[in-house]
Amino acid sequence: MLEGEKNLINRAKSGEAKAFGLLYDHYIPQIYRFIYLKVTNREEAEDLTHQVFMKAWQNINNYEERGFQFSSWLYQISRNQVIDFYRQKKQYLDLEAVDPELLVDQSKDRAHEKLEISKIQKSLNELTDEQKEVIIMHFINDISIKDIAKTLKKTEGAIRLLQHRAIDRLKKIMKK
Amino acid sequence: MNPIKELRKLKNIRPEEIFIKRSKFLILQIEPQTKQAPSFHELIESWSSLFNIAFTFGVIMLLVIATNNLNKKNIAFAGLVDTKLQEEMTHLTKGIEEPSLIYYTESNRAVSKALDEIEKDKNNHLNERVLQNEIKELKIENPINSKIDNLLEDFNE
Repeated sequence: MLEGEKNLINRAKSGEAKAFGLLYDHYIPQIYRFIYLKVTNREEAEDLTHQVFMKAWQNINNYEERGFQFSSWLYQISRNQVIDFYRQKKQYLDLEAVDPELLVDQSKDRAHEKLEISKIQKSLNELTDEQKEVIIMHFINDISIKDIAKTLKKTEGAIRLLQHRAIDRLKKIMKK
Repeated sequence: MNPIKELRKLKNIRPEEIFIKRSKFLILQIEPQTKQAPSFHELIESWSSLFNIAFTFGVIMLLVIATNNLNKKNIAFAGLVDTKLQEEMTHLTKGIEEPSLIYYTESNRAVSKALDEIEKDKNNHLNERVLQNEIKELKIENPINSKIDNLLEDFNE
C-alpha cells in the first residue's frame, strides 16, 4: 500500500489530478504486468491498462474503502477489462505466435532472460484463469492472500487451495 | 526447478516509459465524475422528500378508500335512509287498495261467524240434515255470490 494512500484517494476524489497521478505511478507496473500476463501482447496490454486507469479516474468517487484496498479495486477493473477484451476478441492468442521480444520490454538485450521468461509464461498459460490470477497477484505482484481473496470474492482458504494446486501443476509442467 | 523462484523473474515485465507518460497525460486530461457520494444532510433531505411523497400518497389513498366505503354503506343500508323509507311508504299505501280491504274484512267476519257456530253446535254441524239445511239456506246450487264477485273484479283491476 502506498504511503498516504488514503489522503491521495480523498484528494483525487475531490478532483485533484496530481493526486491521482501519484496513484497511477505507483500502481501502473503491477496492473500492466497483471494484464500483460493475461493477454500476452504488449500493445493490447497497454490499451487495456490505459482503459483501466481511465475508468478508475472517471469513477474514483465510486470507490469506497471499507476494508477494501485501492489495489483490489484496480484489479477488479482490470479483470473486467480483460474479460470484456476476450469477449470481443473471442479467441486467445497463441503463445507460440508471440514474438519473445515482446515478452520482456525492459531486457531486450538479454536473450537468455527473454527465453527464460517465455518458458515461464508458457507454463503459466497452462493454468486455469483463476490459478493464473492468484499466481500473478501473489508471487509476481506481491499481493497478500487476504487482498486476493477480496479481489476475487473468495475465501482465503479457497485462494490458498488455488495457489497450492497451481504451484503443483507448475512444478509438473516445468519438470517436462 | 523452483517454480516460485522462476515466477519472480516475471517481475521484470514493466510497461515502457513512453507509454506511461502518454497514457498518464491523456487520462489526467479527462475530468473525473465530480459527483461526490451524498453527504449525511443530503441523505436526510432526500429521505424527508421521499417521506413527504409517501405521506401525501397515503393520505390520498385513505381518502379514496374512505369515500368508496361510504358509498358502499349507502347502498347496503339504503332502506334505513329516511327519504327512502318515506318514498317506500307512499308507494306502499298506494298499493293497498280499497277493494282488497273490504274483501279481507268480509272474509274475516264469515270465518269468525263459522267458528262461533261450530263452537255452539259442537258436533251437530257434522249432522247431514243440518248440513243440508245450511246448504239450502246458502243456496249452494247457485254458489255465485255477486257481492264477492264484484269485490274480486275490483281487486283484479
